[in-house]
Amino acid sequence: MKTVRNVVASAILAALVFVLLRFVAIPTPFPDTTLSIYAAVVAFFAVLFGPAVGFAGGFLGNLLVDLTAGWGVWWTWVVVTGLYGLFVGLGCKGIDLEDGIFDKKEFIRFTVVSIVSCVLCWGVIAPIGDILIYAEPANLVFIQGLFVGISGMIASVVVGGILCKVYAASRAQKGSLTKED
Amino acid sequence: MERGEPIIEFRDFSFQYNAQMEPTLYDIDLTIHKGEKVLIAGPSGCGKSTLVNCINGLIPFSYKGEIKGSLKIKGEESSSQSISRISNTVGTVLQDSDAQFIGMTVLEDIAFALENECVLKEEMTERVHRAAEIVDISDHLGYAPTDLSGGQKQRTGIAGILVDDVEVMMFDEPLANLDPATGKTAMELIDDVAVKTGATVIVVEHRIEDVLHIEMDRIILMENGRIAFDGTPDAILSSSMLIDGGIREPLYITALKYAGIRITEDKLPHSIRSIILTDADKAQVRRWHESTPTVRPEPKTDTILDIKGLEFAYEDRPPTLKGVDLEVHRGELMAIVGRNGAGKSTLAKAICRFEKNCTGSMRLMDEDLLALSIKECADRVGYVMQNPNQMISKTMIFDEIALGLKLRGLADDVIREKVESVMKICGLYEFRNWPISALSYGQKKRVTIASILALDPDIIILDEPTAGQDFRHYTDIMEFLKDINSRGITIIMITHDMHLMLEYAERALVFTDGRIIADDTSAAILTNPGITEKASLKETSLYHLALMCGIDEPSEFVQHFINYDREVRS
Amino acid sequence: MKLLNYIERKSPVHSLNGASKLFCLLMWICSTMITFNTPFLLGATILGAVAFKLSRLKLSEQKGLLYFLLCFMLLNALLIYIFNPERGVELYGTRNLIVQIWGRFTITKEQLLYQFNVILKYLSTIPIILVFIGSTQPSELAASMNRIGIPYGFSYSFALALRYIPDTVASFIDISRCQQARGIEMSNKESLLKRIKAAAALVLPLILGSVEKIEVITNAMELRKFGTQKRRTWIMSRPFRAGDYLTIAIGIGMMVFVVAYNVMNGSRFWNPFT
Repeated sequence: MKTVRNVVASAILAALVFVLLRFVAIPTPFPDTTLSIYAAVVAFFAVLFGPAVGFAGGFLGNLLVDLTAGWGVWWTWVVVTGLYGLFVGLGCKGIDLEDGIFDKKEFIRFTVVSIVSCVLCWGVIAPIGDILIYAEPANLVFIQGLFVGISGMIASVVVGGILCKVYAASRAQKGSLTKED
Repeated sequence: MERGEPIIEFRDFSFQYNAQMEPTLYDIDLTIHKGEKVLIAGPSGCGKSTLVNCINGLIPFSYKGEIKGSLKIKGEESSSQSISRISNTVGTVLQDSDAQFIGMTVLEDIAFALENECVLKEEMTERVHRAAEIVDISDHLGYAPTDLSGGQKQRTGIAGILVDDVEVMMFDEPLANLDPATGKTAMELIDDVAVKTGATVIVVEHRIEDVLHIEMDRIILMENGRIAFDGTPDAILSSSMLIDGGIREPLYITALKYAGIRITEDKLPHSIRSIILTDADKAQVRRWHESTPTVRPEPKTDTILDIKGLEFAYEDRPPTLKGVDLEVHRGELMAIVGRNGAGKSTLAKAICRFEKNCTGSMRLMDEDLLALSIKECADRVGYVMQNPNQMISKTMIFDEIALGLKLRGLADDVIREKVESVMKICGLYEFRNWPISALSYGQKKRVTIASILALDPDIIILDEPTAGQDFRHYTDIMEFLKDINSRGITIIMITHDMHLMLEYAERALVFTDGRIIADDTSAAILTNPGITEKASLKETSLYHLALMCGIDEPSEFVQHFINYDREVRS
Repeated sequence: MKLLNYIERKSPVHSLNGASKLFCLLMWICSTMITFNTPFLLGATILGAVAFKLSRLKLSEQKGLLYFLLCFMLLNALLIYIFNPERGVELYGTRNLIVQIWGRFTITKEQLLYQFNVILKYLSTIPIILVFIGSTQPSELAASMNRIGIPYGFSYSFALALRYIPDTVASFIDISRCQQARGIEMSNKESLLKRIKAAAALVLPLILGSVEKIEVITNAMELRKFGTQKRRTWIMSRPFRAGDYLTIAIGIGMMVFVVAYNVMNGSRFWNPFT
């Protein structure tokens, strides 16, 4: 029965990626550049629902944004968003947010996995893809990749961590609370 | 009563979720027969949703837990079947109509189950059209859910289970998101479909009076995981079981009881149309009505919000607000009612500056609201969304209430003092160190109201403050709002709930098609058939009772009831 | 809210089966992605324009998109040039200098051809994507994906995403306004970390609410038997006609040409300089 939930979770993740990429742009110190936290929600879903959902939802969400935004479909970047979900999902296997546990140990693991996945996806795979498809200059694609990779890293670790933490807290046992005067 | 063969049979049935310490259902013995129409009622947490999930197979196939005893669906043990086997017999329409609507259009949504069974396209098309015909949605097959009204979504939901020729149609709170008139039509539709298909109907609702608009064969009342009552509507209405079980009685029953009339089964009290009142009963109702002079609430006059000629249109759409004129007075507790899409939510959002491109004038005392930003406006007018989960972004109660103050740059000790005083007003002080996730829905609602109150607004606007709440929680939230109101804060509520309007709002605005068509006391509006029909409302049954008893001024009678009821309850 | 710019109209392209169009589109995209054969890219661009004409879509209906695309292409071309003005020289292995502007900024025939190729790669794919989106009912997309071999679970995810994006956008707008009213903003006044945290506070209720919704939607789908069979049928699917086979043939033809050219030529580049 898990498969139906995965289908739904992938779709909802895609919808969230869409909203975050299209509507939530955080201004950065650099002129005319904004930072998006879509990577964070991909990471959060990958931890919660596993690598398959991270991949499918990230891929579909980014694809839908590209299909509707008018800058054309950037296949390397679309695939890489999916791969990011896949890597985080694989790397965080065993963290069970439903159990309400997301402490220091889990946070460190999530952080390390996110950073490694970011570097791998946006720092290596995406630029190589662009070189292969468009034969673009290496320095250009690596600098683009570096920027997206770094912003993805910050966003994913900060916001993704918050999401995991809050979600785990909402699942925690409610036993030990007492009213105070 | 003639009964068909049993289709759902619980025998000594108990169920305990894996994650829980105690069973949610105990010793259920219940048989539902073919062709019956059954209403299942009970307060939140009584186990009625769990019972529904047992009948449709989500338990034990999606939600794991321990079952004792037996549940047979169509003569076969449910745990030896599968969800999809069971759904061939039992079709469920969920409460959340947006989640129920899976397809991108009406056509696809109705076809969904057939697609999953690999029915070929030709046969599928024919069956979909037949089902659409039965619920009268054939003209909207190409529509997306965003272009449909609540009633049309519900029709689609029913067609989506009918397409499978189910023998049992189960509705989980079918009236929750509908305006009163649409709710009435929905019940008539359910009745009509049951006649056409011969299907068994199970309705889970706590709005007894609205469900009993159609003839139901049985009411099953649940309490703490057990069946507390199982019998005819007439039998339960002649007892005090509903009130004891935390369920609201039909208003005409309450009124008759206040008048000192004993309700018995032979009076057929299940509907205001069926009830038999003797001349002596009628005279007694009149005497009760005349026993004390009806005091109308003193209208307030100190204008706080003055709106003139307010117009608004969403991009590329016909205008949603077509020249609204409105004076709100300080200290009022008022309701805005009307059908979905009439413009009442848009008005609320315009007042809070959520919708920017309004024309006309809007003044709060001597301040021009149209010149304020969304954040500046929030210092004067607060907005509380229907679902508290959509407003909460912190994990701790204190931080959540303090958020707006912090972002306004106040000093820490000022914030602490303010938050603590608001917590005390809202009854949250004893929970001050709790995480929000440990709170109940009603308590979360209080947190969101508290976070708005912390900013010291003059007016609070609430969207459906009690949606989906049972009688106890409803009373809880509304008494709390009344208390805040008595502290001098003006409250505007957007609602579909005629009880709420009647019992708490001293003034009601009726919206139709972007305009205010009535502005009067709730009692006057709900006894005016012209207005109720235009605005998709429903006259209160008290109105019919008044007419039945030969009372000339039904609105006086309703007002009398409200005043009397307030006194009894406080 | 209209997500995909589907325009209902009678045209030969509209009457094609979504699956054949999708297959052709994928082949088209892959082949133009792989190749740097200028005549081929030119041909594909012209063919794309013909398809656009045939589909009876109007340029005016795609204004927003096209404007965006143009800016994007120019920006990208400029970036490529700034980062490496002699990229073409590296790729083609010859150097035909036209002018020396200043320092490392030169204009060579090779660079012009290379950058022309990159622009052609966009021009040959974007219109055909517009044609596909504009001429295929969104409801038919998932059925088409499944038809060309993509598992139905994944295809249905796509359909569900289309179904729930408008809802998600609407609740995002409501939520973010409420949060803005409380004073959350992401302006430049705050430090970057604070801005990120503000954005998190803005979207947190939306994300957690969406997670809760997953369970309800899953139940609704299971109660109507989703996922019980190995395959499923689609009410929006359509039969194949002669035009569909032609469409598929075009897709296969493009792919075969590109692969064959690469193999015989020994390189992806059409090189007029040697």
